[in-house]
Amino acid sequence: MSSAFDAPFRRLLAEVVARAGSLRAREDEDAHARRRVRADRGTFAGHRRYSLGDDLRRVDWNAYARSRELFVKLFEEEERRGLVLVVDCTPSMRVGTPSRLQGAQRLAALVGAVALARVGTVRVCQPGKVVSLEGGARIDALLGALDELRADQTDPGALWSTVLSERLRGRVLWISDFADLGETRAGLKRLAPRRRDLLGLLPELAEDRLPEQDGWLALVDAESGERVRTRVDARLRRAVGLELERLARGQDEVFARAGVPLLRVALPPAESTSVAAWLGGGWLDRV
Amino acid sequence: MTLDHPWRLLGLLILPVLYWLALPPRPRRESLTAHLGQWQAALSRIGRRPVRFRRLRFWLLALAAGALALASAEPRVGARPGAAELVILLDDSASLGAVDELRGEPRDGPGAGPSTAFVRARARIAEVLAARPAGVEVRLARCAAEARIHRGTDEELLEALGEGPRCEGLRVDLAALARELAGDPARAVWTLTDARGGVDLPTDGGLTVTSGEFAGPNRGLVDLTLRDSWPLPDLRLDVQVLGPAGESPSLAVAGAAVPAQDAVATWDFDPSAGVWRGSLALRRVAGGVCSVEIAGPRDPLEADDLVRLPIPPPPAPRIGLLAAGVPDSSLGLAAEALADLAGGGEVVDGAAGGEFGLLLADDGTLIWPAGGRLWGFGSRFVGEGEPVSGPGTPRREPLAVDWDREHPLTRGVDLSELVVRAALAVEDLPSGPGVMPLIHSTAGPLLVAVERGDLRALVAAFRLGDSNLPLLPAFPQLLRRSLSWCYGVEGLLDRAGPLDGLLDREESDLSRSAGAEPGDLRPIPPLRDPGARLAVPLVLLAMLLLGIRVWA
Repeated sequence: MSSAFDAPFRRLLAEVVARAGSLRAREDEDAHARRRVRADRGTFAGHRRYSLGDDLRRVDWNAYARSRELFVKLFEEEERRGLVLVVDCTPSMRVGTPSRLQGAQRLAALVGAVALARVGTVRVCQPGKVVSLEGGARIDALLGALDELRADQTDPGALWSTVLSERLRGRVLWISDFADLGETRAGLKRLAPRRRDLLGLLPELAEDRLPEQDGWLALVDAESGERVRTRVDARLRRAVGLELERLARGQDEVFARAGVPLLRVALPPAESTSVAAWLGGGWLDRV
Repeated sequence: MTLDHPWRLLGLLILPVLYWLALPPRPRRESLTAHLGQWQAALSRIGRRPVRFRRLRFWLLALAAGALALASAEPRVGARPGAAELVILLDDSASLGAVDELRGEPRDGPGAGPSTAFVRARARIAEVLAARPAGVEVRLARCAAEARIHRGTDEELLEALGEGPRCEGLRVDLAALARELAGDPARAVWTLTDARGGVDLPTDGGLTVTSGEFAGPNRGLVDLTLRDSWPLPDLRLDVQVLGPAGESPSLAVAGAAVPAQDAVATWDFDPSAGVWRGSLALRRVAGGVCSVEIAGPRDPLEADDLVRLPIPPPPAPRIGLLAAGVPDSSLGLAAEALADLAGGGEVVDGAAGGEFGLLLADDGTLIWPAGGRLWGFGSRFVGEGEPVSGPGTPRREPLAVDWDREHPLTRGVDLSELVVRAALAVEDLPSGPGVMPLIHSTAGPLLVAVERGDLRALVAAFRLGDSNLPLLPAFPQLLRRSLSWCYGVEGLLDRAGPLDGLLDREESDLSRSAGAEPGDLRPIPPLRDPGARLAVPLVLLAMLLLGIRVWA
């Protein structure tokens, strides 16, 4: 089974992580984090095992003395600053070449890697389980968890159940095509308690704007498998473009009504290894 | 169900083609999409329908095409094997026209008229024609003296039958004809006859006998001979009449001939033949048809009661008289007598020209005509362009010594008393080929007959007034015979032959029982029934399916 993260992308990812400190939001966020961490140092939230790359200053030496194992202390503020990655794994994410799911995986990898490097905690939600990652050295684990995602989940509710049952703290990044406005509206409703920390991310494909070319075309619905044959010409292309614009407006409206921001990220070609191409528009800063 | 043209079912091969045509175009590209709803909305917005295989429309089209292919094969239901052609052999002889009697009263036929075997046969034929399966061709053979074949529609066939049989005897061998026709298995033969007239009943095909019962005797003319002495007006009729022995028949003759004055028919009954033999003298009054009919009460069969005889017209009634000087009074009397013999003619001047029944020449010198009939008395004849020499020395009181006893003119007449005072010289009489001396004298012939091409002439060497010939009993005979001989007729003419209306005795003899009991003795062989055609309903079904398909 091929991986969504080939070697060129991994090099690109390493370059992005290395440049994470130059991100525009770095100063504000770090300062805010330090203030919050210092202020809340006494608000102990729990331990977790030490992992390579963790700050030695956060090692609980008393626990080490008792158990002869290294633990780092977790504070409540830190939990809230973690990142929860929720990637839509419904069949509609298979659309596109490369698929929208692969784009979503790569975007999640970019965001998650930067979060691991800067914040330290990333959770990848999968239907029925959550993979928690902490520390900048867990990028490979992050990629592994994202690589396990398959666009074969027919029940999006299962993912929401996992997200809500785990009572995950931190910013929730929902990456999806939001093609089904009804499902989108339902998801936003269920995540309403978390809407202040929720952000929608839509990896955009070229076909989200206009059909590719004229001629006879068999359209297969990714969800239902329904097949429609039609002849594509300029008139139909215009009509489809209008319908896609209506969909985009509908998505914006649904998110606006829920008070959740929605970011559209145009996916670069799969073979692109340009950081500028992947981070064009500064979307990562907004995340 | 049967098919007239099963090979046309090959048209069903169009179904795979229709299926192939009904399939939507196979796109070269297939695209997975998350926006199928938007595509469908866009298609709807521009008024297009997605191209897809429409199962219902295809099945409607396929069923319509199948129905049309089946219709083209012309299916039928209820078909029955059998003959495709029906030949009706109808005994069309006169005996079928005999009126039936039931308890002494004429029986009503299927129509308004009296019942006859022909009427029943006609009604039976009409029934069969009406009930025969469609597509069975019918030929009607009316068999009497000869077979006449009719074909056409039912109405035409019934019209061809007419209202009664022909007035002929049955001379067609129905049995042999039915056997020959029945040899073809595709042909059914049905014979209708009254089993009378000595017919051999066919043993092949269907057979229906339509004879009836007749209470009274039937009288009929079964033989008839007319003896004609043309160009003379005398006729003699010899007849045989079938009838009961106790009462002699009576004949009514009218038309071109009438009974001669004071003529009475003589009748003799021949018990061995069961017929009356009779003879009646007639006189020709004109040319045309003479009807001879049995007089008396009507009998069951009228067809044999009347015979029509063709009578030739009398010769040209003009008797020409051509005299060089004062005509001999005896010659005038002879001319009057000849005019009367020729059927009421008249005596005219021979110089007037025209056609003469006979031209009488008296004295003088004449040129031989190219043709015609001529009797010269004391006249000399020369060929056209020949020099006219003077007459030879007349013979004085030549003595008639003999006459030709074999010639039709002089056979059986007595000329022994003939006395001639003066006669032309022998060299003034015709001689050479075609000249036959009839009366001989000691000084040469006194009367010669000349036959040269179209010319028939008698040349007497003496004038009538110079002889006692007009006073001899042989003279009227000579006059009569001269008229016949000049017309080329020697003796009496028998005008019997196959006369119109003369039937065979077996045909007229209704006293004999029919050869079979009436009824359908053998059924008509089975006829092929093609069954009901389904082509039109199938075409309508196909149109209905196509109509539904328009709205599907």
